[in-house]
Amino acid sequence: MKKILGTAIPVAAFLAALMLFFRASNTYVQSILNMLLYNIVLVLGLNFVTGLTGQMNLGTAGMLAFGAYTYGILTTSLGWMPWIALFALFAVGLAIGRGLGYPSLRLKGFYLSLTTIGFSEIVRLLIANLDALTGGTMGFYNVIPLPFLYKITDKNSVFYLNLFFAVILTAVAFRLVYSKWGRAFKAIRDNVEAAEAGGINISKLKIQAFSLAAIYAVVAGMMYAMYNTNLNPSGFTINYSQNYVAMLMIGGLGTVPGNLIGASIVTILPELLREFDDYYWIMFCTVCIVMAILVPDGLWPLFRRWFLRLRARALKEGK
Amino acid sequence: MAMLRLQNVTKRFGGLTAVDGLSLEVVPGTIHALIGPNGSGKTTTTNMIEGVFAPTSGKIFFKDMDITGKPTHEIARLGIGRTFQNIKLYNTMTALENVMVGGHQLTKLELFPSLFRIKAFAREEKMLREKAEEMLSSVGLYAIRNELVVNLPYGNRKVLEVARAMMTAPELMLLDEPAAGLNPSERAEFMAFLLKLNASGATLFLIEHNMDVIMNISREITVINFGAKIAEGTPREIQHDPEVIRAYLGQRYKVVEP
Repeated sequence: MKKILGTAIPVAAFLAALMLFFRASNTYVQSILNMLLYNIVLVLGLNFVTGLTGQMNLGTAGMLAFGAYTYGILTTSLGWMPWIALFALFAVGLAIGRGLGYPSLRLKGFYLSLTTIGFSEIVRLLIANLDALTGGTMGFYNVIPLPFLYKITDKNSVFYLNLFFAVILTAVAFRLVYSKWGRAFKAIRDNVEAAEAGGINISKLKIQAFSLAAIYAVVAGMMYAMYNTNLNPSGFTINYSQNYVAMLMIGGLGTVPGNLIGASIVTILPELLREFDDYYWIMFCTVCIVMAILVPDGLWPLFRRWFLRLRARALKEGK
Repeated sequence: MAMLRLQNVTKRFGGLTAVDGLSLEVVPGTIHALIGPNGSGKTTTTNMIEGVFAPTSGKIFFKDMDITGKPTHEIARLGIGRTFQNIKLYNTMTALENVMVGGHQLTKLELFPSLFRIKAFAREEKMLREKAEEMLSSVGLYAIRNELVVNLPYGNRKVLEVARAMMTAPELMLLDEPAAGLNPSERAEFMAFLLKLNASGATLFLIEHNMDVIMNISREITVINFGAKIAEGTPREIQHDPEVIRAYLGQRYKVVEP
């Protein structure tokens, strides 16, 4: 109980501070904070496939688009109850997970990356060309947010709702990554033959990893759709998928705190660098490359090492 | 009832016959060695038993159950453990975590329920950890449980691999060259360890090149050459078999009776 409170109180304090900060910010900062929320969810999902199971997935933007448009079409065009649409999204996530999980059993390395890129581009092109359903390149407007406890009318309350989803999904990720599931996923990445000989069903776990990633991504899509209320296929290009992989690498593969750090840095840093005007993208890429060379494992393992070293020193001095 | 029975097992890779009509029987509780020159089909045989690939023809029985062509993870779950010729550990994990992964099949909860059944999940996790710690102390690696396995010396990694496979208490252990790369003192220690393992009830089936190990610990030896069985018997019989001496052991191993 004490342990639970020890985690719950700082987390609650942090969330409260974040909400206050959000209220005090201008619209620009608010939209970045919201982007941060759905980026975190996407990276947490991608972590299951690329971070833990070790399979390069470059189709995240496609999954995100699939989720955003499915939610938009179901609620706004077809008039479904938003909560039912959310459950439909889970089903869509499972279907995408299976659809991409099966090829991953046969394809390795570059070929799997190409398959996922293909998926992503197909989704984008379908959205751009199925005008009647998706509004095509003109965009899809006025997505209805989920009603949650109270009727949600303004962007502020959508943000709180998204924060709720992000917190729940982070908790789920913590629970899965630091458990027998996380270890089994990592075992597949580290040594497939040994994992199989140890009685782990590789096919099933790979498909489950993809399904988790897809469910996380479609929920992120819903968060995106609810906050932005209008959708456009140009927001889901392959560049975004690469960004999510960058977040994963910068934060630290396979660790939840690493995902949170990576998502925050890659979301916020380009905005801070905007002062450099035309050069900001170059600046950002340089930072990424330097980090890839200096901290190839990502930031979280580095922070962890520092922390452990400091603690060891403190213990020594205490004696 | 034989622990393991191979019935006329043949494996062809294209035009190459790696294993040719091999039949053998492993008696429960024994230490059975499979030996032969390089490229004689020993590892192919283990791979077929473990289900990495199916034999071209023939049948494999584990405790009278036909396991021919079953997927690897199912065969593992029936109670066959395995170690590899070149150690295959999970290098990004600690020793304890490696052993805990070995016990994955002991747990029952599926992925989705494990999100909601908080108590049952915590219980499973605790059971795995305790069992893994117990296993590590029984093989004498408890002190290094939190080390990453890449940082461990070779001998420890060898033992750790066996410990990982032993988590599920398999009835049959396949050991692919367990003594390879160990120095004489490590080898002696490892042999004692294998004998202890066998005494605790596990049947061992090992592939080995080191005659010292084979002649000292195995009770039954099958010799293959070019995928076909050329001799079978106790270490003593094998040392006297002219065909084995010619194909594999060499004249040096010819035992001179006093």
